[in-house]
Amino acid sequence: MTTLDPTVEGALPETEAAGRGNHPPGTFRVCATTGLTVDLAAEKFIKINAVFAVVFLLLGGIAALLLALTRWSAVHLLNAEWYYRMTTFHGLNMLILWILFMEIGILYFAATALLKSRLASVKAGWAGFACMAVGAIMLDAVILAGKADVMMTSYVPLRAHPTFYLAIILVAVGTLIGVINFLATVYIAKRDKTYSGSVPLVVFGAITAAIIAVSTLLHGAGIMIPTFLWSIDVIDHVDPAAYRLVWWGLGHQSQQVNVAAMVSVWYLLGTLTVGAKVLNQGVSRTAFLLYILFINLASAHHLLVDPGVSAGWKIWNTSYAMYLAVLASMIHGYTVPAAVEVALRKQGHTKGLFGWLGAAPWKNPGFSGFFLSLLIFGFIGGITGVTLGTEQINIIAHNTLRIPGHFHATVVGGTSLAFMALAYYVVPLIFRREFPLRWMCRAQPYVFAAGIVLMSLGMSFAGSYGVSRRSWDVEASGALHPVSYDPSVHVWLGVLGIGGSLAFVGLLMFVVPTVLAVFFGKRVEAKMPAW
Amino acid sequence: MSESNDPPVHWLERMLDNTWLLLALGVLIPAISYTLWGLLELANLKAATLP
Amino acid sequence: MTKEEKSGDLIEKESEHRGDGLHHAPGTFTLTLILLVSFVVYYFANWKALADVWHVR
Repeated sequence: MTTLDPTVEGALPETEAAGRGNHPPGTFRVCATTGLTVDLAAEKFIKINAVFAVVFLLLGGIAALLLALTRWSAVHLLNAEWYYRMTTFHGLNMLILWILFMEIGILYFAATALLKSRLASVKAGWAGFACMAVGAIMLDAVILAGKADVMMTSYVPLRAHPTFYLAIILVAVGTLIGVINFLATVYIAKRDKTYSGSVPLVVFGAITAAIIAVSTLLHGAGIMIPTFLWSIDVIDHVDPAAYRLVWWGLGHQSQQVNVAAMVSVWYLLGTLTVGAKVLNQGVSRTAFLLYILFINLASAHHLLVDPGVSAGWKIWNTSYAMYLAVLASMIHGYTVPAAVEVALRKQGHTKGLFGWLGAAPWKNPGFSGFFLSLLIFGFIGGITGVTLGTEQINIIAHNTLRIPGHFHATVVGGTSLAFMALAYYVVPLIFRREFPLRWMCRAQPYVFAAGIVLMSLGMSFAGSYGVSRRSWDVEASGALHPVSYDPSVHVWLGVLGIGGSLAFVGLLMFVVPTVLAVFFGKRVEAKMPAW
Repeated sequence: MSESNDPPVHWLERMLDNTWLLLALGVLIPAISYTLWGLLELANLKAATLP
Repeated sequence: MTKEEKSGDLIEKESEHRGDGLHHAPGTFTLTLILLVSFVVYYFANWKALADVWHVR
């Protein structure tokens, strides 16, 4: 940093320092590229959470490749035991660990840099991180040791080693501490009047994610604590139907945290990459409000074929209420690209309907990753999601490969790709390191997106022919009643395998430059080099 | 009083600015509509008779 | 983005900028119509598939 660096005492004139929120002197710096105030303690947590996130992304990615090469029936790589072990490992590393570590980093960034506030508690930050890190390492260790081949859902009466449940509880408690630290930071920022008016929209999106996370983690505690007690024989029974109901309050709501965080990242990247301004504060905020009020009810679609709950409960929670949350996604799906369009048109790209889109900075991986994430989430994830969540249609799709075909488009093509796009700004702005291999970074979102789209389509079409999800042997060899599928199923499973392998290449194209940049990258001395 | 010159803030905007109200609603609504209602239905299930 | 306008400033001045009520975004509007048509086709195909395997007499 140049002369603006306030960690050098007296670097900022007093008048300017006064407008820099509630930071004690020497505890923050001003980013020369964005002008944002970066709290140094929060910066440390953003870095460490991001590093852990990428490690778990890589681990989950390796498991993903092994799984794709097993579901590809012509390859069928792993044996049954390792297939289910890797399915458990992949699900938890990707859906829980990579995403949660990244989200805590995003929350700390939003509350401190965007609100010009110090972090509420550094001690709580460390405590939360320690719980998450220890829990995560325990979780991976117990799965790889072969003591928890129970899949991510760990439906009772399947029983894993007690360490498995304890590890998940630790990760959940650590995340909850992080979320409370975020909310406390939002509180002190308001108390200390570090901003005027309402919080910026990106922070409002982060608050939405945090609120959904609180509900998620309460459900997690509500089901994992009794299950842990059952695993150590303190209680003798956990009702399987109740387990499924409460567990999905953790399992699906955590994905709604992703949705809210991803949409916030879209708004942020729209501003960072093309200078997009929010089109209408009221509309975008109301859409986030709809998420807060209704999106969590959608967890019920996991129980659409469960016999214990009534049609009234199913239809209310998955249709009427969920459609209000779908409406919110459709609002964001319009306002985010429309803000980009308005910004680019103001810059003179006014030719025809899509001249602005052609003139967009497609060589900037922050932009291409964000926009591809938006398209994949909306066109593949959104359309399949609303369809599969319809009670009647669900009966022909439940527990088939169509389901992972849907959520790989939302969580991987949507959330993960958006978070990767964000990393192309986090590393130069927060770690203050330049990316090497810039050609690889520019190509990465395209390779990853193409792989995920192929894999998702392969899954969806194979699932349409009835191929089961989470099943090692498509043909059910040796079964009393022979199972046969349309031969084209194997073509689609091949598409799944090829897409999965391509996506893994795209993942490596993200991890390698990121790791090289963080540990060996050239230091960004002033402004970050433009993409 | 300079405050009286400020335009009145719309109720929706005041609600959106109230993080704690949003937190309460965001936790209570799914807890009632999804969790409690669902658990009540499961708790009131009659034991199935064997065919 | 103009050189003088940093992202941080844009975010900070957000509450002053209440929005572009009469914004002009025909490209995005067309994209959303394509999304709507795709959804209608996919949703209908799924009801048709359901009707094919689940006969109502």
